[in-house]
Amino acid sequence: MNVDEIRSLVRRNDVDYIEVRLEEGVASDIAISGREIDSISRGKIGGGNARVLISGIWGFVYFNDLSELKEKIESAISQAKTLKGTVDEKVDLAYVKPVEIVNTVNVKKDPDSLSFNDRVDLLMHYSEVALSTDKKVVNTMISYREQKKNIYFANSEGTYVQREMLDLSGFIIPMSSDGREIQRTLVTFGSNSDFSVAENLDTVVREKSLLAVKLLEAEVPKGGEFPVIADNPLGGVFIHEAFGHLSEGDFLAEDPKMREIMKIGNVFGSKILNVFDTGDIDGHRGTLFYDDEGVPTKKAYLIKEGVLSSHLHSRETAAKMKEDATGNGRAVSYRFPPIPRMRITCIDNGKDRVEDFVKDIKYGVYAKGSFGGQTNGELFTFVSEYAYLIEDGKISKLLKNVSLSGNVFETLKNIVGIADDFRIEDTGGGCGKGEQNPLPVSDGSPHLLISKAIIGGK
Amino acid sequence: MEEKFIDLMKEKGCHGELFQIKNYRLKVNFDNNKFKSIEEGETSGVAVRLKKNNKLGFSFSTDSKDLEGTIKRAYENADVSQEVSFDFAKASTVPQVSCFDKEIVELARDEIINTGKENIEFIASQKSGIQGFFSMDKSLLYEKIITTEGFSDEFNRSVLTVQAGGVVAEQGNFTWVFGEIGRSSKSLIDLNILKEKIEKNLKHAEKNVKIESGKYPVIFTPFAIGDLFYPLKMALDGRNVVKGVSILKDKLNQEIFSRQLTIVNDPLLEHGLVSSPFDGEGIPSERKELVSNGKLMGFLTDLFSAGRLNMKPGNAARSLTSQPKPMPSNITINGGTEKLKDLLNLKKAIIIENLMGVGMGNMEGGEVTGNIDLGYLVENGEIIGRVKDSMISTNILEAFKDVILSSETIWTHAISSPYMLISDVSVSTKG
Repeated sequence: MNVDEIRSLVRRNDVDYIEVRLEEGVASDIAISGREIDSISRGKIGGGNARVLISGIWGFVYFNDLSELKEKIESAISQAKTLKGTVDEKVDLAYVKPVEIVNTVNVKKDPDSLSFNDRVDLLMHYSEVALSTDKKVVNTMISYREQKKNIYFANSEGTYVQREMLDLSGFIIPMSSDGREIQRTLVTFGSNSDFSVAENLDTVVREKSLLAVKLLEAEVPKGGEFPVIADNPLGGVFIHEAFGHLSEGDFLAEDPKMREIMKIGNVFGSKILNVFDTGDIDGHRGTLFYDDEGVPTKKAYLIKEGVLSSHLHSRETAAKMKEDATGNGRAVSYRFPPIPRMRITCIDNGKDRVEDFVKDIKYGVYAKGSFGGQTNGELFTFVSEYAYLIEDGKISKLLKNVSLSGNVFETLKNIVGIADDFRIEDTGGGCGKGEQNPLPVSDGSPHLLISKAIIGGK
Repeated sequence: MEEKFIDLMKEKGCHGELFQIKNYRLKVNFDNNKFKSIEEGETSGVAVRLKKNNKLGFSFSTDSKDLEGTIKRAYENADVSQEVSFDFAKASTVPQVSCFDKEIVELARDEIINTGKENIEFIASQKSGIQGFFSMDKSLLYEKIITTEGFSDEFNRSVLTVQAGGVVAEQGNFTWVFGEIGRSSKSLIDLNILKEKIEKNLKHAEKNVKIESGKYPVIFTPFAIGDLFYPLKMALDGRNVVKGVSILKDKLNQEIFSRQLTIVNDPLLEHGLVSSPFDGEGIPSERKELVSNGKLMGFLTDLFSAGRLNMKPGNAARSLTSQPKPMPSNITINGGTEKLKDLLNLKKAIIIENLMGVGMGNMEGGEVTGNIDLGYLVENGEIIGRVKDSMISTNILEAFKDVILSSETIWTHAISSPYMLISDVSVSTKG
């Protein structure tokens, strides 16, 4: 990759703005069920794009053959030029100071410090641990994904960001069956720098396998609206789905009603609620020091003491809303243009104790872990890994098939307790938005006490 | 490419398969009631599977010129990989399939933009404050498979996909209406289906109604069928049957569902969205009845699962970076005998246009649990209003036993489906 050549190709004066992104690296994927390898995939990925702004209109062209860069730049320019007069868009970009930086990953344990063979063996070993825990553990679903790439970004403002990206993540799902139904639990991990998050998981795999068996005998909750205690992973998924997506600038910028709903200064929760999104905590899947527009990322407090205080922007949405760029412009790969996405999204630490939450609940649910969540802006939903019934201030029965949902705005206001045990979670999978899926992100939360949420059940 | 591949495989002393793909795409995006952007590009690459001492090595590269490197990596990966006993596809006659439309190839960007403008104006006019979106995606796909067993063939598919809808965001009330259609023939893209869906739904969603938690008859519209179909797809996946985790694994040739239900997997469908002359492993395409009048007739198989189950392969799909595995092709679910308006003629029922969050439930167990993102209360055949803050929970093993199907069917994306009435579904709601 000839840095000088790339940088010179974007020094043009026949466009208002131009950027190129090139990437090359290796992607690996291991999928295991039971004692068999489902598939192993390891190969080279590479490609690039050129994104151009001419008179407020975007041109965007992507390609795999990096030797075609020059030609594709011309295509993108011609695309934007020929749109003039056909369409009425007028895009501006928020100002950011140009930077020139080579950003490397602070690698704590490189996955390549183990042979690929050893990585596969490790996952097979976990499968064996799960299966040998109990004869009712009939299968496992294990997935490991890794991407190691170099990303080169240059724009006509003089920004040049060359960054290393390492993303590793996975999950180990023990599956149990009693012949009539199937239950599952989840062990998950992820990092941007440290393969050791995938190591030494025997104990937790064993525990979760035993739990999967116990879930076969557990009760399905009564459906309805109840007080809920959400643990750290669940709190993290909740804030990501319930609030993170709502804060993304492209959802807000041109919708006057949404801008009103998400106006800075609106009250979203009680004074105990603080929510932030950041890229600058190292070690996590959502760690990001420079976003995909070359913008240095910084911590954005979305909610401060219950009050909305910031949105998440790409340069385009920041300009549209006349706010500062926040460093949230991300693209899952060269195939797509950057759009506002989350990084590490968290409910900040609180002062309460989880024990006190339980004591005050007459009938409710203590929901633990999550298989993921979804939102439509107003409604959020997620499935917890398992849960406990709380009766008369005490934890009682184990519950299974526990889905939670609620109105986003009401539920935020219904967070009446935030514990002092904040934790960031890195899990397998990733965030999906349109076709840009899965994007490595992290979320974090302490335990939460929500005065009411809808539990799906019989 | 063919000779080079065969020679390189001979050198390594392996049986193998080469997959080559090229995909040109042009996508035009409208959002917030106006034109936003164009995305255009071509991706390509090669992938190799090979057998080394009965272990399957796999690798890929986005650099189509790097055949040697890809083979080398596949050869190295084989050591840690899965054991297989199947053979790669042999030479065969492959059926003719219509999945390439010159009209799609020639569809110009500006024509797509004009279509987009018309449609976005329509959407914007439906309701004050609506943020309409529309995207039209033209994709030209080329795939080629070569094996050391003698298979060598290629095909082109042209696809047009449209997504359209809008969101109305009011304090305390968000309404998303949207739909997606796609075919491999331009003339089969009927935008009126989407327009009608958007118009109808906005009208029905004008008023919110409260319901009680309890059991209801629920009607899934063809646009919501995907959510019911997902756990069924998992259960029909030959690999899941082999692993012992399919809820249908012991039920072949048994009558498990309503006699009204017939489900066919059809890769030969004329102008189908995912029609192809051969599957992702070079097996010539065939129509396969998965469920026939309620009786389970077959599973979706690839070479691996077909070998283990002693069945025919032919339902493998793949992308550049993933190994082939069983996937449904174009799916037709037959219609029933009752007209939709008669189906709706119930004292009290819920009609579901879209569920949210279903993917996270216990789908291997056949569960369909999700939020009613867009759904309505029906009373005596009339849509009374929109149901909010509610979740449904059902299991396909029970749900499909007594399902009643409308005579009307709609093609949405790659599934043609009727409206489905399921009599006893749990609904949980607020308050």
